[in-house]
Amino acid sequence: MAKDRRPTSLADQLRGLQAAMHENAQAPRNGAGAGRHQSSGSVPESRAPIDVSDMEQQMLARHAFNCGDSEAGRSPRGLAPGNGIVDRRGRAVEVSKKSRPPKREIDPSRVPARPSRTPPALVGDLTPAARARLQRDEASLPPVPPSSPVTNHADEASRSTVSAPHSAAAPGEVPKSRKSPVEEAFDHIRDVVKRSTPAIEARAISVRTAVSREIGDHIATGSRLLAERPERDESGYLVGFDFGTSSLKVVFHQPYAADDPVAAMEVPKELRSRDHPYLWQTVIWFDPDSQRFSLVPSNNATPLDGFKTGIIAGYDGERIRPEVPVTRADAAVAFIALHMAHLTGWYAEARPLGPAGGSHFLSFNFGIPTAAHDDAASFGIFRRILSAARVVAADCTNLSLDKVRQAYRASSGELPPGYIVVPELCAALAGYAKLPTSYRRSHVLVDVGASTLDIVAFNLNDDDEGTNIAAFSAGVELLGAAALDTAREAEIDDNVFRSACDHQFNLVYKRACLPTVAPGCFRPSLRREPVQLVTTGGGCATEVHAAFVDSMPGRILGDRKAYRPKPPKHMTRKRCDSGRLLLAYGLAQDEPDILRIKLPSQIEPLPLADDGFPSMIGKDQV
Amino acid sequence: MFSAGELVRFKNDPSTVGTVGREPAEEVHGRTFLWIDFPTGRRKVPSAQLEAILAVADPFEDLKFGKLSAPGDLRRVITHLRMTGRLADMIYSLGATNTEFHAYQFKPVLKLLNSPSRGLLIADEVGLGKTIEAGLVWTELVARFDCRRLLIICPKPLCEKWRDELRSKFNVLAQIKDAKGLLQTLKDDSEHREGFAVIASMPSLRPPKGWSDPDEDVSGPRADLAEYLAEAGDDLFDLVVIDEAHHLRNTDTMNHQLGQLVTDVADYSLFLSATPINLRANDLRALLKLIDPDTFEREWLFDMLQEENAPYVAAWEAARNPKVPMASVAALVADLPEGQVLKTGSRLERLREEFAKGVEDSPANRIKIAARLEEMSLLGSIINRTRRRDVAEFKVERRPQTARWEMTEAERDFYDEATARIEAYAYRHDINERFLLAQTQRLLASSLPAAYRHWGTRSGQLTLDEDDDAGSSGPIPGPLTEALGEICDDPVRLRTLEANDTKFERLAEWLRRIRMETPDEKIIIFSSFRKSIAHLEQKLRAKGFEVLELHGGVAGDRQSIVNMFGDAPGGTILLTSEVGGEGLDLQFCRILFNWDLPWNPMKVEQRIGRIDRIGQQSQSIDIINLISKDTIEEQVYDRLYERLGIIRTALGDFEPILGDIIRDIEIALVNPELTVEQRAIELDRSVLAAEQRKAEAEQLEREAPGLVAHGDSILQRINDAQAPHKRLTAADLRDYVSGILAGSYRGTRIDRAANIEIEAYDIRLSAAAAAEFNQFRNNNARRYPTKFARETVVRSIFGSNPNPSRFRGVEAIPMTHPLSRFSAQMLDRKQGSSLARPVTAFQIPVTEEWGVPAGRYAIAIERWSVEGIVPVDKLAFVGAALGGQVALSEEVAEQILLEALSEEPRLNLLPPDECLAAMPTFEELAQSLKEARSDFESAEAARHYDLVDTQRSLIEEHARREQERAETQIREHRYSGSAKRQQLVYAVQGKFEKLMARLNLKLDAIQRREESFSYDEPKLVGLAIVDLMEQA
Repeated sequence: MAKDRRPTSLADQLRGLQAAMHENAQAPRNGAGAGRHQSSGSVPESRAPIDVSDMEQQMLARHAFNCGDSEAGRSPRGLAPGNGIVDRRGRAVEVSKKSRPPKREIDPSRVPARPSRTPPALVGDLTPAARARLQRDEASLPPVPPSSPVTNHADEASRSTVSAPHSAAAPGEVPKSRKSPVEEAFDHIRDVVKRSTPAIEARAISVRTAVSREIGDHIATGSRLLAERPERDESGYLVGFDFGTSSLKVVFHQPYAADDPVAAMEVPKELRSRDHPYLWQTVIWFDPDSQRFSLVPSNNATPLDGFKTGIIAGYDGERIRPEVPVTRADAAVAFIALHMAHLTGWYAEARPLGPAGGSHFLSFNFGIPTAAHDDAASFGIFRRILSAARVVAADCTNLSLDKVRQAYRASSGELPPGYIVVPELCAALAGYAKLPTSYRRSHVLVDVGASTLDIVAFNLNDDDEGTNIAAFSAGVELLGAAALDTAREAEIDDNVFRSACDHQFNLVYKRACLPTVAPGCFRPSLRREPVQLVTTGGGCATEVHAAFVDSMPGRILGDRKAYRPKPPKHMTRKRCDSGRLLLAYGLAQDEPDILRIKLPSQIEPLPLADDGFPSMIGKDQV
Repeated sequence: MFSAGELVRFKNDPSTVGTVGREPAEEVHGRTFLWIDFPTGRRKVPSAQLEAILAVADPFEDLKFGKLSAPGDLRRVITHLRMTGRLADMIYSLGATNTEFHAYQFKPVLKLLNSPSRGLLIADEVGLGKTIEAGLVWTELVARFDCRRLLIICPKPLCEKWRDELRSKFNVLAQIKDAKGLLQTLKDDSEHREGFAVIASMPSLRPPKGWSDPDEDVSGPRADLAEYLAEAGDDLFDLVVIDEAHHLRNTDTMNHQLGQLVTDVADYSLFLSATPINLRANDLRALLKLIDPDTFEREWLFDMLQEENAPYVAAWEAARNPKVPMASVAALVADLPEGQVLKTGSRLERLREEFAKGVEDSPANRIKIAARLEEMSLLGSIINRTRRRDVAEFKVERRPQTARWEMTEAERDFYDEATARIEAYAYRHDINERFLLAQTQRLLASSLPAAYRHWGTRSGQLTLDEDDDAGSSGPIPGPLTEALGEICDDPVRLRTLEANDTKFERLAEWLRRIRMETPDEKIIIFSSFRKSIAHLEQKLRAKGFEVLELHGGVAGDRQSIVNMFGDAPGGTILLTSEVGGEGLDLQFCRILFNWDLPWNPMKVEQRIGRIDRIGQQSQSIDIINLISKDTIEEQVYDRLYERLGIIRTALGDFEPILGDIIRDIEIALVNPELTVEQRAIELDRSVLAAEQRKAEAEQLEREAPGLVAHGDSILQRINDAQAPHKRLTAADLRDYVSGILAGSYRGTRIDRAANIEIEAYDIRLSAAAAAEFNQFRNNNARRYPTKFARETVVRSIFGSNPNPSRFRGVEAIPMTHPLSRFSAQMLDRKQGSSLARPVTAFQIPVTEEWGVPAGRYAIAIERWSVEGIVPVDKLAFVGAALGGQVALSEEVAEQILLEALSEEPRLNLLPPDECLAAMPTFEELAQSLKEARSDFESAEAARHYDLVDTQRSLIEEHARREQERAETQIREHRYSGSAKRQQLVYAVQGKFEKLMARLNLKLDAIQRREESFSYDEPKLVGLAIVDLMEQA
């Protein structure tokens, strides 16, 4: 059962945590099943008059407007056929049918499914392995536990919040279980995206010999340097290591030096993600014959990718592909170790920070999604991988699976000084929070990545120790830029996709508005000041996401303009979307400059106002 | 380990200097962290990165050890020095107001600052924005000296305009008051010292006749105010501005007395008038006497000054003229007299010494020498004269057009009949009534139906069915109206005239065409007569035109009608008279109709001046004159207007000359004894005379520049100060202010404002910040109008407001704003003596403008400060190529460095050996800085002592004059035989003694200022190694 409870979606994990938090506050933990979340929303229904109907209605109206059905806005129940949702060609979509999860729910992070379209911007041919993987029939997928926490948690969490106004009914009344059209659309898209393999970039078949040799040399140098001097140097440089699902970004920074020297690591052309000069594809090659890992392709080697999502979701011990004896954790350890060695060697040779740069590292700072950081299991796995990678990096010139496995097995998750795990939210806000003109109090961060849409509601505060973050609610869904492509391939109308994004936002935002969370900061009727929207991620550029982001300020968040933080211009020399490097830049900060954060689970619920006592003492009571 | 309070900096970032906090050190994973108080806030940093420093950093030491700072650090240090300094080359009002930049408008600012008498006559031509110049002067005085008490005296119709302009363009909240209100304000201010900004009309303050005569029993608020002003023992105003100051030129009038009373108690006085420069005219001297009685009281002194000034003028002109060899300039300078009144000895001596050493003949040197000679000229600093032709921005083309037509038979009959009546009347009566005759004749030309109706109803001859004739119930009509009324008694004839109004039809035709071709244009129609305006208003409305009226008879605020017109849709017509539109700005319009044509071209110029003024966005303006054929107007138009080129070009200095001629022309035009031909000859003769006078005036104007100094070199200074590299950008200012405030006061927030197109911020000061800021304002900037005085969140924009009328609620925060100055003071306090002195290095592409070859250059910046009569700080720049082959002039070194820094270059972290290699060049630069400083200090000393001597001699002269006056008064009272006046002897004696005491105080102050002259130790601001790279 424990396996069944593993959260796979970060939003789910967070919701689970939040639910648990309320359970702690209200009732003893009893290990109840998934269905408990709805009722244990921790807030007694009669005391939870969540004023979300206006937001919901607004979204319905907008949706109806988009569909050209003016009546729909007035009567959501009158939507027909297909509840008024249409695809791009204007055909009605039977969302309720399509949105039903398949009998076997599939975790996309575990097994890629059939590709839904040709990946854009191919830079080389797919390897046979990749092609085979992409063409694999759904039937060949390994079975997924029927009560996978991914969908259950998400469904429950969404029900628990979305249906809150309904559940305010009198005790004894049966709560309405019917989903709103928006919920239906949300579920439908999630299912479609889950069942598809996110567009996978073409992996290099080969790289130039010089590149291959250079990478090998850098790994050898770096490995040697890390072996010779495993401990950090206090005058050294910082490494921001943004280990993303689709790409790795590395930034070097020399703290406390004039003119703030900072530089992103450039990537050889063949290994770039989306042709971005500073994005390294998250892929590693494994040669089954030699049982060795490599950062570059070779004749017999199989590219391994998509391993990060599964790790965070708790599938670290499972194979990436059945025919390759490499688990996600193995691949991750090897990938991180090889890159640690490589970047150390590359730095020693390229000296990207110029004469100001230190000769040895001060700290490797790794990013971890905020919600994962708040989950002990995920966090533990992540640390174990990093701990093993650190050990392996010092000896990885010929990195074998065996060596990796041994290191992982031996890893306790301990990280010595100089290896820090930083919540991504802190990294994203590193530059922004330092600005004297940055906002204080309520914020919503919307990070539209290649695959995910990550939303966090938080406060930015100052105290004697500096600036800190109080994150009240967060959610991650597969609604990023690539997911939009997938949805389009499945002929889902952009408006429907957009409503799914809106729905995710609603879930997170409404959570922050709960009377026990931070209603005074977020709830439009109670807060005094508007909420600052901060947007990050390259996915914001899509038409749908841009419209989604643009619509947020206004009635819901108030009238503040959205802010899009950017890393410093001088960090990159080549023309590129430097916004993609924001996290890596934010990670490359020294410990005292990393924002302190209180995760949702660490924030005490607010006491409810109605505690049975009169709010004032009248003369008759004296 | 460091101890609390110790001054530290980062080893590798030497410009980040802070103080070790009191909190204990923290050990984290083997690293020790300390809390450091940096000027922009507290921060926890590893102690291993810190090093202790002495209170004063030594840039040469840093250079020696290769401790380089970011170029941005040097930029920040320079910004801070500009924010806190009294830099001579800074004009603080630049960019501090909501006005467009026009260099010439800052001339009065600089002249007044340099004026020993603290007074200035702004005698610019019409339409150049004298009001704005006055506002800029006030802004500068507030920024530099925290002036708080402002009085504006202007004609009554301009009060509202002044109030609006002060509010919208200068953020000054002024109140319109009369004598009683002003007196109360002055009394309140003497107690609370809150300051004020008051606007008053001249008649409302003018003292009544005999107010000072003890034999007369005169009372009332105006007399009370006059007495209060006369009795005041100290200055009551920081600045008095008198608009349309020519109303004060007659020394026998009470207006002049008012001028005397207020300027006597004003620290600075500013007179605005379009009075031309004719130094031979007594009118001008009367005005200058009010500004600087010590100098201009006596005619002989005035003459002497002119005499003293003449060789300065000659030398100044020679310096500016490249054809005059430098040796000749030197000879002229050698012959300059030292002056009995103008003390120029020390400065002359320096100039002569420089000539003796040899001065290179270059345009830059000529400008500098001319500037120095100009500064020595007293007259040059008391009058500011800008002519339209001197202003490059004034390129509006005037396009006059004439609509002519034949009258109908009925119209012609009435016109001829009425003209004959007027002539007959003139024949019978004294010609002294010519004004009346001319007005009557012009009304006839303005509108036949309106004239018919007016004369008929006024005389009671015409009975109309409609009951709308207010004129009939007015005062008894004059004999001329009676005479004309006799031919205006037929309602049918009136209806015929109204139905066949050819003039109106022409107008309507033009208006329709304009509406069709340029529907967005608004139109102004000028008429001298309210009757015509009323007539037009009715007829235009009937034709479907939107119409607004503005004339002397309109009740309420004229400015609000102008605003309404400004906001009205295209096609709207403003019907106005020259009286109604006087002084108002209508430059958002470009089409003007002269419905009737005043015979006096000055009035037409006044009309055109409403739209042909600074701020007119259009390249051209259309002026359409409606002239009926075979009328006196046609004669006037053809012979006077056309021939003298009036309308097409601005009258300028021709204006006063025309005054006399117009009188002759009017007499000729209404002289019944002249035939039409004779009249034409007479007209031609007058016009010829006008042409001759015009030529003379031009000659005079050619002579005048030297006397009044049109100020090319001042303009040069203004343009220099305006150079992009010398200005603080809005972003610089925002980063500076927000960095200091947000870092120093937790809870202070500077949030980007929502729902506004411009980059505005909502500034909320924390309780502590607000309290300290209030204290700062009370001590240093009480008069500066700011919303921070009463609001907790102030929506602000850094720099100036790009569109004040649109973004009305947004407070502009220029570098003169108290919040900027408070931030600068805060940073100063935090930094103490620990101001960073960055040594930096960077690369930048070389530009042709700099005129130097590519290569590596060393540039050093030093700050010099002089305390004296005019405290001055200066940032001195020196530069040379490494190795010393190419030396940079001060200007080029400054330009290269500041322009390069504004491009935000990255630090070029040179290895220590390259830093060391630059050392010899920097040492040479240090030596040349030393020499330049010595020169600067001696120049300042010469200026200081000359100014002190001039001020002292002027006060002594004043004292002598007052003594004579008092003695005369006492004698007169004593021997008047009146007991009442006998008693006044003591009062006069007392008043005189009071004045003497005041003058003595002034002398003491001058003495103190003289003794206060000192130089501060020079401070090396920073060093830069600049690689000028060839452009790719």
